[in-house]
Amino acid sequence: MSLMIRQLLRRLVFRRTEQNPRCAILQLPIEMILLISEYLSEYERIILVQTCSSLRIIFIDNYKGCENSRHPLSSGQLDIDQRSRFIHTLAYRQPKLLACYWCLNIHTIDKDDIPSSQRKFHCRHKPEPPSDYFYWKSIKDVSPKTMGWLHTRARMLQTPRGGLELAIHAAFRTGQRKTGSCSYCETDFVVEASSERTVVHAWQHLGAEVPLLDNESWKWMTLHVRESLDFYTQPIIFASKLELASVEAFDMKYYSTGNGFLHRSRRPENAKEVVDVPHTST
Amino acid sequence: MAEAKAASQKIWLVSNDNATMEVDRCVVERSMLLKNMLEDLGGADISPENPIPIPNVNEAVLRKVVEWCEHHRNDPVTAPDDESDARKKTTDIEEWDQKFMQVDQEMLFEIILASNFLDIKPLLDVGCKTVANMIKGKSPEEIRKTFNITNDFSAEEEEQIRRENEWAEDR
Repeated sequence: MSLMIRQLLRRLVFRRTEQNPRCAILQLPIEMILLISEYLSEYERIILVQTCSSLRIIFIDNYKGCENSRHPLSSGQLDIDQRSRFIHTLAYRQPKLLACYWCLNIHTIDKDDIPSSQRKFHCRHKPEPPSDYFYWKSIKDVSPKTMGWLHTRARMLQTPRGGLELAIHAAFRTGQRKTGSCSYCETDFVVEASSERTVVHAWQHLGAEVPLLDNESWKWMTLHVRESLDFYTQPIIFASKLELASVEAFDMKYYSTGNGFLHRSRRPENAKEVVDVPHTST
Repeated sequence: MAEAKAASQKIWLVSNDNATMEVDRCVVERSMLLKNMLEDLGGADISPENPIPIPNVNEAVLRKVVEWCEHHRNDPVTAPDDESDARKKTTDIEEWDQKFMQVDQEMLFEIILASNFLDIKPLLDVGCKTVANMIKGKSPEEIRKTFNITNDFSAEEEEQIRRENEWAEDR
């Protein structure tokens, strides 16, 4: 009974009046707001709870009232998978922030995050795995089936209808280069596919799609180019103030330098010969 | 034969702003509330002069709801047991429904309220999924911008949230 009274009192002081009258979602009955939240993951619900006092009160009252509720009430109660999605969502469109999945922190980008290779950022805590994947025809043609699963740490392959998987199929079907990004981690990719040779390039932490010159990831890459003696193996990036950062833009510029995809015609050492690759999950 | 006749039978609904509309009975029966009401009324005479009042739903919203029911008139009726986790796990929305839901936020929330009142679960699902998809992938600030939410946290609440997120801070 005391819980009911507490909830009633909190609803009475529910601060809707301080809210913008054009805020239609907060005009919904509490039951409807809770119903909508059932379609959200735990981490998305926590993010919603962190938007305003009214929503915070609604959710805390509701889930505290549920006996044996397994709904986390704060980000600290999320499991590791949900935590990594939480930090990714917070950092994704922030040009100065970088979500690190190794230490589950949001970093402010600094000089220590300069990429050690031209196409990927390293978290300062742990190096990233390889980001280029080459497949060469041997006994069998290269195809989505013979390629097997890519051993990327990108989550895109672990999700239903993963973006990379779709891009690979589309690249084979159309013969055109396909770009895309993972919706769960900061990985962008380009796929070039043919039955003779298939290349998948992946970039980690390429940065948010904001104007290039506001994008710390891109700025550091450019700085790296200027400071590097190994000039010809590094991408040269020229950008106008209005141009937005994207994997397409990066890939296009990278190509236009003539330095990109050094292994384009030459078979790289780490190329995987396609014989009949068993399917193993990542 | 009798069933077909009943399906094509006309029903008249009146919105809370006094707009009357004629709808096929099978379309009206997408609403569990109205279906049960029609069954309870038996042979009662529903006519343009004696329409079923739909309080709380105005003409514009009622027309949208009827449009959805018309499009989905032949969909199988889901049993109440089916409204389980399986329904809620996915936020995929079929293409026609996505276009149907391309309305301003006020209308979107009115449709959700009307479908809840009229007990049209599939439409309520689509509405809730649409709103959930507007929330997904956004930071708190982006959600505020999307829904015109004011950040009204007190200093104590701000501090509490900062402490909750402390684990993610740069170290």
